[in-house]
This record gives sequence, C-alpha cells and structure tokens, in this order.
Amino acid sequence: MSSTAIAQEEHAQDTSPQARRRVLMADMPKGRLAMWWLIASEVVIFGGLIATYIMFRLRHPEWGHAAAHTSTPMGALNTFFLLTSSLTIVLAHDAANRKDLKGAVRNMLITLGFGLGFLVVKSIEYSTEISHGFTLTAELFWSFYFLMTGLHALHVIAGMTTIFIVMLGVRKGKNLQRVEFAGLYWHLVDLVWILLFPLLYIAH
Amino acid sequence: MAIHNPTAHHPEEDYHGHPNYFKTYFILLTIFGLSLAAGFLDNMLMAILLIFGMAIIKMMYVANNFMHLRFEPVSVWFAVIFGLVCCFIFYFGIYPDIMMVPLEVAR
Repeated sequence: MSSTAIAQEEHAQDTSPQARRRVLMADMPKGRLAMWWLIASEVVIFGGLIATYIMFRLRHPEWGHAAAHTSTPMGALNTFFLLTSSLTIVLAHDAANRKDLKGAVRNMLITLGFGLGFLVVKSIEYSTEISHGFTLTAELFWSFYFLMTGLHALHVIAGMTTIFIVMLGVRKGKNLQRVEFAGLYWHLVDLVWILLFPLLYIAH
Repeated sequence: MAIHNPTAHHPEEDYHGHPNYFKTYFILLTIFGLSLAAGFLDNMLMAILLIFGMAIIKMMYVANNFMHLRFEPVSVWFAVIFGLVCCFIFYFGIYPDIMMVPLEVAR
C-alpha cells in the first residue's frame, strides 16, 4: 500500500473533532461546500451594504430622527420569528439525520410558518411607513431602509421557496442531505437580520 | 483494506454530533432580551457598544451552534472571513468620498 493510502486510512480512523478541523474543503460534501461559498458571497453583498449604511449613519446623526419612526416592537417580533425558525430548521436537519421524515417535514413546515409570519409583519410595517409618507425617495435613510430590508425579504422568500421544494423531496424520503443545505441558507437570513435589527430599529 | 475516499459523500459518516439546540436557542433569546433592554440606557455610547456587541455574540452563536461552523474545516472560516475583509477594504476605500465631503454638499 502506498504511503498516501496509509495516511488516508489513518485520517479516516481519526474521527475526533480536532481531526475534522484539520481537513480541507475538498473533504467536505460538495453541496455543503457550495452553500458555504454562497454564504461567503452573500457576506460581501450584505456586508458592503451595511458598511455603506454605517458610514452614512455616522456622517448624518440627524438620521436618528428618521430611525425613530421604525417600529421596534414589530422588528423585535420579527427577530423572535427568525430566531425561532432557526431552531426549527436545525431540528429538521437533526430529524433528517435520524431518518425521521415526519419530524423533518413537521419542523420545516413550522419554519415556513415563521417565515410567512415574518413577511406578514414586514408587509404591515411597510404599509404603515408608506402611509405616513416614509417612502423610498423620502430621505436617504428610508432609501437604505427599504433597500436593506427589501433585499433581506427577498432572501426570506428565496429561503422559504428552497425549504418548500426540499420538503417535497423529504416527504418521499429523497435527498435528506438537502435539509442541511436549505438550513444553512435560512440561518444566513437569520444572521443578516440579527445585524439589521439593531442598525435600523434600536440605534435611534 | 478499505481506503477513505474524500470525494464520496456519506451523510452517516459525515455526521459530527451537535450542540444542545434548545440551550442555544434560550441563550439567544436571553441575549436578544438584554439587547432590547440596552436600548433604554441613557449613556448612548454604552448602549451602542452593548447592542452591537450582543448582536455579534448572537451571530457567533448561530454560526457556531446552528450552522455548525465550529465543526467545519478551517478553510471554510477563511472563505467567510475573506468576504468580511473585502467589506473592510470597501469601507475604507469609499471612506473619503462620504466622510470628507462637506455636509452641505453631502445633503
């Protein structure tokens, strides 16, 4: 046996967490690797937007008055929805690992319910703000607000669509590993909101 | 003798166990409640530091315990950190265009 083959076999036998941290991306399942690259690219998209907002916000302290018109209770409710949906999607992943199809589908349905709840609350917020004259072109703060939350809402819709499609397969016992991939995307949506909430709702 | 094939995906081999999800969730809710309370502090600088500090802690909790980032290869961390570094370069690249323009012009 070649030295490479021996090394590979030794690596396969060493299943400690430390050994897992040593392995390279090439050892990862391709689907998960692709999801992490997608997440890294999303970090650049949202990171650039948030960095620009922070810079403008520091330059324009008067934006605090505009930010005071965003609804903190509604933003907090949406944060609760997304944090809880992160729990349910990771429970779906856990159930899929245990081949518990019913558990996985149930948790994915609950996740979709929280996602829908998020969108409903966001729609109520948008309609209230627009009816008070805070439109996309009212002030630069509102342009940033609608751009960032709108882009985030699009990601929520994309995440819900993905979870729904994956759920259809899971019901038939197919492609259970995709639950994890859809979950990774959903957690990204949660991560972005965790940063948007204090930026747009709390920091008046 | 069986040889490990790194390109093959075997979910059962790949499974690395997991943290206590409910414990993580309740910690996240607690930090969330604290960050809301921090919004009522009179000291603005302290409030902002606390709110954003706790937001970063929450993000780390989600990434490590729900996304299992702590079980992923170190190179995945580099991919994500590379994105953040790009944002920093972008930030300081456009800094003069936004921060050094007179306010009358900026408005």
